[in-house]
Amino acid sequence: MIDEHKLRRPDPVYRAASLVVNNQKRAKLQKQDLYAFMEQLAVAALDVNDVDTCDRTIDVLRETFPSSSRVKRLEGMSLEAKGRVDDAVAVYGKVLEEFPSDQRAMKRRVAALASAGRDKEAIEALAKYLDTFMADTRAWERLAGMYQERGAYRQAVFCWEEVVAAEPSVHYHHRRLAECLYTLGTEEDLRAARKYYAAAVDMSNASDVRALYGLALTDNRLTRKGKVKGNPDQPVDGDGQVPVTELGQHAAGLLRKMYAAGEKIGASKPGLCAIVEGQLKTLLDA
Amino acid sequence: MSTLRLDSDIRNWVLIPITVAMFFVGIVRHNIGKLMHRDRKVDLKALREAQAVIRAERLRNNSGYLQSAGFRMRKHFFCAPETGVFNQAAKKANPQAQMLSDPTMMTSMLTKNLNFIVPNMLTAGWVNFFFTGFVVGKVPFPLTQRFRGMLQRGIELQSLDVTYISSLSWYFLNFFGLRGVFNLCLGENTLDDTQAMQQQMAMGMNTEKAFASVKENLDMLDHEFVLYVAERRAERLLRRLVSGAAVGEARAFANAEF
Repeated sequence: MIDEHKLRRPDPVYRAASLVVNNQKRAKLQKQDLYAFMEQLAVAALDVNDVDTCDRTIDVLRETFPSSSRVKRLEGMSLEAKGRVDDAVAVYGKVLEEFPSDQRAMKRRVAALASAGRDKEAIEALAKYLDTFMADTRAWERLAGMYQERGAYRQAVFCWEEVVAAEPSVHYHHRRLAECLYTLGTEEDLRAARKYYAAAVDMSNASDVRALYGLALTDNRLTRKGKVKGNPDQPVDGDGQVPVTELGQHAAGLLRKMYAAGEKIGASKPGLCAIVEGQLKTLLDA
Repeated sequence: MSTLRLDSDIRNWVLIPITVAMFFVGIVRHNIGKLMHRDRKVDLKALREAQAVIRAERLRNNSGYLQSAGFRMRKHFFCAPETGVFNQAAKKANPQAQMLSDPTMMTSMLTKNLNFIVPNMLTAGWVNFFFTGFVVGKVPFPLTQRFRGMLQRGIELQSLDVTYISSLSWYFLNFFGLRGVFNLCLGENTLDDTQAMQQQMAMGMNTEKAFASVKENLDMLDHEFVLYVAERRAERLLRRLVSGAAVGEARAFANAEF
């Protein structure tokens, strides 16, 4: 059931799966299901740091399916858990030689490299994976995250654009793209960031607080840039549609309201509202 | 015409044996198929092209959300005259010709077909040989005369009611009906006879045509970054929300301008 919902809850899975696997007769399992459960048990065992159970399960599985790529993947994961990342990467490499189109092995390899801190190799491996499987949205997200960690924001923007093009109605993709653009900081990027923040706000009916903050900050920066250019009264806006400061002011106003309301019903800590007010005031007066 | 009375021996010695025989043949076929099954080597290039088509379609549909720079980069990636993804594939041979020339694919196709065709033909021949010339059963619903040729093969009576069928039609009924029984007995991965037949009839994706159409669409797309509407809508939404309106009202106000 947990598998169906694609959740990751190692503790209950571990307990349930060990019960089931150890008392096979009582559980009245079919043969095929048994092996699927053993696979789940192995992964859950790794999650709760019980590498021995995992190894034992893998041995049983290996006897039944000696040349299966799934079992080899589990072996690789067990090696990763023991910290032997090079061996794990070698195992995945062998799997890929035999089954060159095994998506999961490719992704596991990237994860192993990333967890070992070998970022550059991980990014290369993931980029190569995406060269073939270019419709995999989650992989693009992960690559964007990796680029962001290393500060390569231009590339991260490209990846986020892929994600937005794939799932345009999900508001936090727009927000994350906007955050990258805002970090880049040139005027063009700031204007684009503003649009994406606005899209996030629009799609989430203003419930995305990070997007609201983003709007306020972007507008603030744009105003300051406008002032530096020597145009104190006319905040610059390329499209001429919405004057620059208005969006930011409205966003700040809404934020203030939200924090006040949260304080009233006791959802947020008491001092928070004052801090937020102070912050927003400096933002908008500058 | 009064109903014919059929000997109950027919039921014992014809209907049930045919069903039982087909059932066992199916099981044997399934196990042999499992033994001879080999993992098909999936072509990475073919995968890449399929995914490229998906990505390009998504790009075309949602291009309004991307900035011009982003769109131009991707358009170049896909449609550039020499290096673009869609132009590279055009040089590749037609998949059908490829299928015939690729030896491993051919052998796997052959084995699959053999495994499917031979037992079926044998069983049909056996049924035809042993059980022709007499009426086996009666179909419970009325049929038109057109079905006579199909349902009464081997029975030479022109005036016999079409609802009386011959054993070959019973064979065909079993052929389609035992699929469900196999699913129950042998688990999910049983050979799907009808699916295999459908696969043979519909050839795989013809990459050339798909590429040509997607490329043309992408080429002709006049890109516009339309996200500025979001700014307008967000501004209206926020204005209303700040002044204390409920979310639904503010949403309606924001959408109302367009």
